Amino acid sequence: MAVIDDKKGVLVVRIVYDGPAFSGKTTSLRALARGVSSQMTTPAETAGRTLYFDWVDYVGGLFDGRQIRCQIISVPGQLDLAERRRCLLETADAMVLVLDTREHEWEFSLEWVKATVLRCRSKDPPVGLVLQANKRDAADAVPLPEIRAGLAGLPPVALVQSSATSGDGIREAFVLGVRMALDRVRALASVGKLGHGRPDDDTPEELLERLRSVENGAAEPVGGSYAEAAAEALENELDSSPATSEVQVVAKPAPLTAEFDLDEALFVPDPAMPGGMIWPPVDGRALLHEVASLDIRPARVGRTDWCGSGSGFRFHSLGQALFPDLQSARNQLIEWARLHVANTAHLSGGRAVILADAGRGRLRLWQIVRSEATLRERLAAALPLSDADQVARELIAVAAQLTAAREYFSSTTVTLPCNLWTVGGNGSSRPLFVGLMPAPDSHLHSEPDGQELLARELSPQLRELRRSRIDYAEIVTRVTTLASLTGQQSPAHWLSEIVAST
Amino acid sequence: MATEKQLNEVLEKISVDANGFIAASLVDLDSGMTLAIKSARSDFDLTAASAYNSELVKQKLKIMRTLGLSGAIEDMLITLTDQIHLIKLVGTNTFLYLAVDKKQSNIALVRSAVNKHAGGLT
Repeated sequence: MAVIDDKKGVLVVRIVYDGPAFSGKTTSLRALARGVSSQMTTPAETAGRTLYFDWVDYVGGLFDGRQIRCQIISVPGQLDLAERRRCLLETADAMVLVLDTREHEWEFSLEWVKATVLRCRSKDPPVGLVLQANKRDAADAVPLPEIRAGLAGLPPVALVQSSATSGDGIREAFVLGVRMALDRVRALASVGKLGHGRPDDDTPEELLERLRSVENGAAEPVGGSYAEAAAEALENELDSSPATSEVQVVAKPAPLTAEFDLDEALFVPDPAMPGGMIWPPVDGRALLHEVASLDIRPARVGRTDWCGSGSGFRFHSLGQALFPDLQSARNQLIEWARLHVANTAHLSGGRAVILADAGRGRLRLWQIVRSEATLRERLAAALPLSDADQVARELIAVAAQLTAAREYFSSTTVTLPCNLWTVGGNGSSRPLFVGLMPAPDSHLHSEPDGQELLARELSPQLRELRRSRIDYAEIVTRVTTLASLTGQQSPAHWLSEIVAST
Repeated sequence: MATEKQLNEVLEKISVDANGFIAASLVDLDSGMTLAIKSARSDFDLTAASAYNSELVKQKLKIMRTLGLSGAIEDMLITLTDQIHLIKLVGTNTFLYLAVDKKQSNIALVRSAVNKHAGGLT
């Protein structure tokens, strides 16, 4: 939907407010309209309920020298108007999802979030999503940690608490939505997909007309490919940036040496950092917003890398990933973005690479990874099981996943470490790398495979099992029996040989 | 981040302490969007002023990078014949923008009023 209206000299973006009926969408828009001294238009309503949409037009902010015209609309929340809602969501550059977070509504709200996240991610590039947790002033509002726990397994969602009736949090959610829309605009522009001309719907009347015509039989899908072009997008932005045209481009990033970084500024995740410093542009900002409130403070490990973890996230920065200027830092960010794009199919979700201020004009490159269940955790849960047969089956399942991961990871453009801590343990159809991404120029030793890999990873676990279980012999028997049902070159067979020799 | 209500309260305090107050806003540097506003003059387009001043800050940051200056911007002061405009960086990506009538104030008073309350904007 985003388009540059050359005639008016503005960038037009659409922020769509979605959410179930009575969650506070219209109240939020009304509060926002009041705050930005604008008018809200509602083409049709019954007993205060929106039938088509609410519309607020607001010109504010600046993007590449052009004013930003925001078409802020809300959808009808009634389930029987789902088709109208769908049509409006299709046009969003960013979505603000208004949810009732009171105890009795939260379960339904969470289901709504899950469906909306899928919708946003199906777009190309993805539509940024801000979750406006509304009605936080209610006595029975669900505690924030419970909300975060509910969102834990989902792709990045930026969370803002609000009370639409008092107006608190409304503008913050909106500005965050605009930022995400601009990230999407940058992504579209850099792959040549940002349109020019008059917006499809310049006024509420035009939008109403189009909705009515759609209901009478028209259609308007859009599509395209983005993911592979994401790293190129960053690079194009770098090339076209006026900031960089004044600076000589260096072919290789020039990290600083350790002696310079003794007084390095501590990393504080900042969801408001400028576009072009975050990859991926939209999801990365949402993820950053999510981690910003967690108060994770990474610490230096010795005099080298920086690490931090907690609340389901891990932060990491290599010791040498400190850069003296924006140019060299951005070059490295592009390298990392390319690495992620090239290996997307192998990686767990919830990842971002960012450049953060390190003080004295320097920038540090960080990766943030959402923690996922690992094979190590699956094994830790399985080994204390009282049933020897169950333990044997879990051991074989872990061995099979590890072997499959090793084979699957062999097609990546960088050597991904394959061990119990880096392979996902949630039993998904394909193995996922859940560890920290190795640096683009890292040269890991070649990983062993087959029986050698299983012996390296599982022997210590099996030794511990033998020490702690009086029924170890029975587990060995079960593994051997199950392995006899498979071929000689199977993970189960390799495991039976390792078990027998442990 | 402070709530919108708290932000508005801080701007209110600045409007009281800064003689000749015309308008003030807290602005998101990336988008130029205002996070809170307070104006004493209906003919002063605070939305546009905030947006274009975000470009000013970005350009200054760009200049600093080009010159290899490693310090950070504390504030930017623009004196017109009849107004004083002060931009005070607050946090990493927001700034306070304040315009006052020059006849009723001076640079020291403006800075003092802003520094007294800017801590409440983060």
